[in-house]
Amino acid sequence: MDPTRDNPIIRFTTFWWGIGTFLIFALLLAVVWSFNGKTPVTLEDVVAKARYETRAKVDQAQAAELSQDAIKAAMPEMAKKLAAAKPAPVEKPDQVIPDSPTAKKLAAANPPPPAAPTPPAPVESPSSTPPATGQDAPKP
Amino acid sequence: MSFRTFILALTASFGIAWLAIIVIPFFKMRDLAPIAYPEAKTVTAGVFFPKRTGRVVNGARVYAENGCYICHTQLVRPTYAGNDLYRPDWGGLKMDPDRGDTRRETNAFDFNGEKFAQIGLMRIGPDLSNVGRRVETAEASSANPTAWLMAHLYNPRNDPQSWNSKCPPHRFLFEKQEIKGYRSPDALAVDVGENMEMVPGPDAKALVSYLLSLKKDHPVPAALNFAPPEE
Amino acid sequence: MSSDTPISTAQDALTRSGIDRSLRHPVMFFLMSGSAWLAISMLLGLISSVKIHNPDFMSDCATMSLGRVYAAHVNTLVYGWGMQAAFAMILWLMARLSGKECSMIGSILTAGHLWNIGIAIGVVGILAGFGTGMPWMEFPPFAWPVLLVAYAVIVIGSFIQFRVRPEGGAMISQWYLLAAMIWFPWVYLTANILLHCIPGHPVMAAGINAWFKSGMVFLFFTPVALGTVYYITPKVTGLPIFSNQLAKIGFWSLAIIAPWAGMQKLAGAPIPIFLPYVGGAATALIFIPACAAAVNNLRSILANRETLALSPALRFTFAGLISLVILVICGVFLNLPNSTLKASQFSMAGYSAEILAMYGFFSFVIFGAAYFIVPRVTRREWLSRRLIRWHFLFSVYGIITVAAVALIGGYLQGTDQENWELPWMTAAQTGAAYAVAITFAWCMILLSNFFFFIHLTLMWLRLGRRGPNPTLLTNPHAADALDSAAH
Repeated sequence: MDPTRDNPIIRFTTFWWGIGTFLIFALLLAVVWSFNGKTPVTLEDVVAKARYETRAKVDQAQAAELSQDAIKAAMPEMAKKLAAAKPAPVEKPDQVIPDSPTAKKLAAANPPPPAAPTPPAPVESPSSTPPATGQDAPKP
Repeated sequence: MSFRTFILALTASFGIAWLAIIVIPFFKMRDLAPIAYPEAKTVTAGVFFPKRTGRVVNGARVYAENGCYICHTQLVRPTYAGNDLYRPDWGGLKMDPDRGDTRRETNAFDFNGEKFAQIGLMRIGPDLSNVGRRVETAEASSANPTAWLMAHLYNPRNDPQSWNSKCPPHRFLFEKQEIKGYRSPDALAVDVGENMEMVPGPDAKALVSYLLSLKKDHPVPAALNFAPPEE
Repeated sequence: MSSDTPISTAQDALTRSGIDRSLRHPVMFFLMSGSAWLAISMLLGLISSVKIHNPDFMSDCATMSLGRVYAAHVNTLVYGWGMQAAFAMILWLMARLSGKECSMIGSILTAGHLWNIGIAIGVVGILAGFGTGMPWMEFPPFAWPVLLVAYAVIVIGSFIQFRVRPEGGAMISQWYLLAAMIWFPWVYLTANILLHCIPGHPVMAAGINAWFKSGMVFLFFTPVALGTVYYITPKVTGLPIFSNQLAKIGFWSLAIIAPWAGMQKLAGAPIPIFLPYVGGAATALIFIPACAAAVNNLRSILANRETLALSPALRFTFAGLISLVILVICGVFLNLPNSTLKASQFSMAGYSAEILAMYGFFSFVIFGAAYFIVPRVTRREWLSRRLIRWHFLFSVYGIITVAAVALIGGYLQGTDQENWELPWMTAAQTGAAYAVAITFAWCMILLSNFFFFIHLTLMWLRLGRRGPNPTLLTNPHAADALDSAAH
């Protein structure tokens, strides 16, 4: 066997040439793809273009009718008017639900006037109790 | 002949075919120009755009995973390549009530939305290019096309009209569930036991939606219209 | 090209046995695991064939639904059996023809295991419902890079062996094997990159897939088988190749014609119109390289009929060549553009032709070579003449049925389908009888492979017969005169 035909170097280079040969067409494909790589335009894109144009027109028309600056300028005045026209809050105490927090708040704020003290109930004691027949015990 | 010459000759003999029938057609067809269709201007911006409604992507995946392409094709061939167009309901409808004869061959835009056209291997079952149209107009199925297709998928031989169908039953696309209160409107008309019903699973719904979207008989612009002139 | 000398010196014999010893594990590994996958594929094929005429068979199991089982059957046949059988052939033949021992045994075995694992996961993926839906490429997308890397590791050694072979020309077998080794990655990478990595037009993707199927058959399995035939025939018959010129014409015509074939499956589809018709023409023209190889080898075989009767290797090789001739007749007959192509395009003819190519031609040639190679790498002889004969007989019954279905059944089924006046249900019925015939064929083939697998396993376990005389198909006493020719 001729040693110069079969040695580790030739084997090594042949290994890489072999792998390269297997991959030739993948590499060629990569080359072709690099020239034609952009994402293809689909039918959906083409039809969408028309849709976007219509939408742009609609947006434009709307924007023309509806001027943002005028709105911005009018806002502070309108705000003031609205604030001034704010109606005063009406109080209707009879519409307040009993035992609700509002009722409790009202009760705390306006405590009811202290009621007239009720006379103490007559106490049955021997010293102060007038005789049953006597009518001259002064009545308080 | 040296090793290098051998490899070069092999590269050349393979490479010419590779370029001519694979790479160049592939890259050119990626950028297929839309065909102008002025009559459809208001609907599709003046280009031919066969819109499909339905779950095309999900359904195509279920179709591929379950090998429907083995027995069904999706190709209506022009008359020089086959007799598909002569059948009354494969390329469209021969007698559509509104449009008359809508049959046409498949064109390059009909697989819009799919990554791999399931042209199919054999015709053990009928061609499915216009199955949506067929199911929606046939007497047996037009009342509820979805339900008809679901029943067909569950077991084609349950329907006496397709007693000899070789389509396999796809029970695994359906789910058994307990009837809660009232029967589900999707439930199939099969007996699966006391208080149980059979409803379509997600794959069945996607597949049926995809099948119903298969209506490849849209009107075509003059450039794609190879129908013989009206008599 | 150097001619084969029938006289072997002692030095040559020592070199040869050294080579065989180094290749025992790789070759037996690929033949054994390949045969196991073949058995699995035949079983899946049988199940899917029954489901075509009896759809309610095993219909409760999602993993066994026809769509998935059929895809699993085809993929295990092509990648599990076909590729591994091809690896066994490439490894042994290239080593012997280049006179070099195998130096990458460990890497090759590791890559082989990786291949098997990849296939196993891929098949489970298909059966579990994750197939890609692209015929012959149904493994989930993770599989192809793994298989490609394993492939490169397995065959690169043979590529190197060729380069460092001793001074001299190259045999025609080496041309075919080298070309096959190079064509497979070209076809496989192109198809997988264009279908999985770069988005393109859906119909063109289907076209490239059809080209891939044809490329696998004519640019990988066919050259591997032809390389094998061109080795086995001269070795067993003892006669040199009839015509070197014809052999070269056969090779280069295959190289020029085969890359154009495949897209006839998309006739009538919305792709550039020349594509399907060029594909059909190329498929029909494949008869040129096929007939060149068949003539070259059949002449030697038929000139030596006693050997044909005795040698299993030669008998299988002969049957394989006949199948090749029938296959290319189918290729011509079924692809005539305005007549038969319309009918055969979507009929069982396509599937049957694929089986004829993968089993009738490729597998028979591999079996023949296996009956020759295994005794040499295991240093044992086949145990049972009867097992070999049954293997042959049942396979032949099966494949004749498949060939008949391809030619006759497929054409008739297609013609009925094309008859638009026939309601579809009636037209579809024509196929039923042929589907049953295919089931019968699969039963025969499964049985025959059962015999082969047992026999091969026994040889792998080194339980073969020790002895100087090869196991021949008839009484060994008649074989004494052929001893020298069988090495």
